[in-house]
Amino acid sequence: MSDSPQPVPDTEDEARTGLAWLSSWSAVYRAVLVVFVIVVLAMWGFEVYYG
Amino acid sequence: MTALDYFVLFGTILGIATYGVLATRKIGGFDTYLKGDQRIGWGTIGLSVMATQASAITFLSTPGQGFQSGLGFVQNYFGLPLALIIVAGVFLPIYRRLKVYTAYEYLGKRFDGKTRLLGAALFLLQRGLAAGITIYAPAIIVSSVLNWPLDLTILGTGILVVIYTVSGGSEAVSLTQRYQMGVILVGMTLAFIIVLVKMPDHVSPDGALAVAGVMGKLNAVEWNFDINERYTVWSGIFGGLFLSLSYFGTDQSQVQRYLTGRSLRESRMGLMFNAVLKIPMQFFILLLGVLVFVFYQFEKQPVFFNEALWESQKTGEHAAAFTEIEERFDAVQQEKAAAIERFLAARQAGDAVGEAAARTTVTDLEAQSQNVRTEAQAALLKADANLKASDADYVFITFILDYLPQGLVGLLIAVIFCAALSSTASELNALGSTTTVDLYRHVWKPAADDAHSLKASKFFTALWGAVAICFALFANLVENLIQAVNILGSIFYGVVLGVFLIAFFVKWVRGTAVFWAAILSQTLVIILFFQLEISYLWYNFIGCALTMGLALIIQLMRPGQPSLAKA
Repeated sequence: MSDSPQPVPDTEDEARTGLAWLSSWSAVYRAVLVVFVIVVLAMWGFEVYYG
Repeated sequence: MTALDYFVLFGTILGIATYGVLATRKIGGFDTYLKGDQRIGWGTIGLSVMATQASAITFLSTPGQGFQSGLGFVQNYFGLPLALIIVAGVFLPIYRRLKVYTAYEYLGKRFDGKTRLLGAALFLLQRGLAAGITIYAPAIIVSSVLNWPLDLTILGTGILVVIYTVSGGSEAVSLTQRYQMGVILVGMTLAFIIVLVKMPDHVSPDGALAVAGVMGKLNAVEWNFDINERYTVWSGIFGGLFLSLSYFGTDQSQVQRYLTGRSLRESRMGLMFNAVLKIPMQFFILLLGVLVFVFYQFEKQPVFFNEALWESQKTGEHAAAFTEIEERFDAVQQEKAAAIERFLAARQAGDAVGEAAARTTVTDLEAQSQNVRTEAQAALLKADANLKASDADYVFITFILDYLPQGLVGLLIAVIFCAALSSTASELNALGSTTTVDLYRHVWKPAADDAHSLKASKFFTALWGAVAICFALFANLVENLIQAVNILGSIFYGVVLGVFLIAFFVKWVRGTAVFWAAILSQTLVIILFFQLEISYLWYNFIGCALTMGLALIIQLMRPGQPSLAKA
C-alpha cells in the first residue's frame, strides 16, 4: 500500500503485474473469476449447511 | 452518547479531514489537483474506490437489509468482478493512454465535442442531485436517533467535506478515503465481534447461525431463473454486470479515483482489490445484520426500530391501538424465544425429532412476529400517511446505541460519517472536475491557463458543495425527491453506458450517429417511463440497448470511414 514518489510510464508497465505467480493480466483476471466462483460456492455451502 | 463517544467521533472525523488538508497543502498545479500527483499505490486506490461506492446509507441500510431479508441482497454484487475486469482491461488503459481528466473528455477525443458535452451534462444532472442525498440520508437518521438538529448535522457534514475537497482536490479525497475506509472496516469488524460476544452464554456462533438458518436468513444464493424473484444469481450476474460497468466505467466519481494511480498496474490492482473483496465485505455486513436479528431473539426487540416515531404515536390519539400491537408483539417474541431455546437444546442433544418440532414452531412464530410488525407499520401509515413506515435503516443504529460500550458508540457513529464524507468528497471532486474540464475549459474559456483552471476547479467544487448542502437542507420538505433522484439516475445511466460501449467496442460508429442515437434513445426512454409500469431499474438496460442499436442503424445509413475527431 506504500506510495512511491515517481509516476511510472504506462508503456513500461502495461504488461507487468509484479506478481511472481500471476505474471500476466489475463492470469490475474482468471484468478479473480476463480475466487468469485469459490466465494459464491462457499456462500451456497454455508446456506445449505445451516439451512 | 457519552463525552468519550463525542471525543472519539469528532476526533476521528476532524482528524482525518485535517490530515487531508495538511498532507495536500503544497499541491499547486491543475493537473495535480485533478489527478493527484500520480504517486498513489494500489492499496489507496482500492480503498478509495471502495469508499466512493460505500455511502453512509450502505452501513446503515445493509445490516438492516440482513436483519429483515437475510443474505440474498449480496447477489446484487455478483456482476461486479466481471465488470471491474472489463474496466481494468479495456476502459482504464484507454483513459490513461489518452491522459484524460474525465471520462467525458474521452468521448470528445473518440467522437466529437457535442457527444462529450452530452455525456458530461447527463453526469452533472444526476450526480449533482445525488450528492445532496448522500449528505441528507444519513443526517436524517443520525439526527433523529441522537436528537441532533437536522440542519446543523447537514451543514456540519457538508461544510467539512467541502473544506478538504476544495483544499486538496483529488489527492485529498484519495488520502482521506484511505483512513476513512480504515475506520469503517475496523468499526464494522468490532461491531461484528461485539454482537457475537453479546449473545447469551449458551448461544455459540454456530448456534446463532443455526437459529438464523431456521428463520431463512442465510439464503445467500438463489439459483432459480425466475425474473419475478428480486435477488437471484442470474439477475445479480447480468443486472449487476450492467450496473457495475456503467458505474465504474463511466461515472466520473469512480473514474477519477482510479486515474490517480502512479501507473496502470497500480490502478488495475486497485480495481482487482475491489473485484475480490467487495462481495465478501457485503456478505459480512449483511451477516452482521443477520446476527443482530438473532441477538434480538434473546433481547427485547422494539416492534418498530424508529423508536422516536413509534413513541410519538404511542402517546398520541391512537395510543391504545399502538400499545395493543406492542403487547402482542412482545408476547409472540417471548413465545418464540422459548421455542428457539428448545431448538438449540434439541440440536445440542442430537435429538432430531425434537429439533424438527422446535424448528416448525420457530418458523410459525417468526411468521406471526413478522405479521405483527407489518401491522405496526400499517398502523403508523393509518395514523399519518406521510410517515416513513420502514424501519430497516434504524435497526443497526439502534443496536449500536443500546448495546455497544462507551467509546465504540462514538467509533460506529464515526463510521457512518466517514462513509458519508468519503462518498460525498468523490462526488464533489468529480462534479468540480467535470464542470471545469468539460464545460468551462471546453466551451467558455478554451484559452484558460493552468493557474486560472485551478482556481475555476476549486470554485466549481465549492459551488457543487453548496448545491448539495442546499439540496440536502430542503430534501426533508420534499421527501419524494429521493425517489425521484434514483429514477432520474436510472433513466440517464443506460444511455450514457450505451455511448461508452459504442466508443470502446464499435470503432466504425462516429460521433454524429452516436449523438443522435443518444438523444433519440433518451427521448424514447422518457416516453417509455411514462407509458410502461415496470421497475425503473430496467431503464438502465433499455437505454443502453436503444442507444447502441440506434447508433449502429444511423451509422449504417450514413456510411463513412471511422475517425478520431478531436474535441
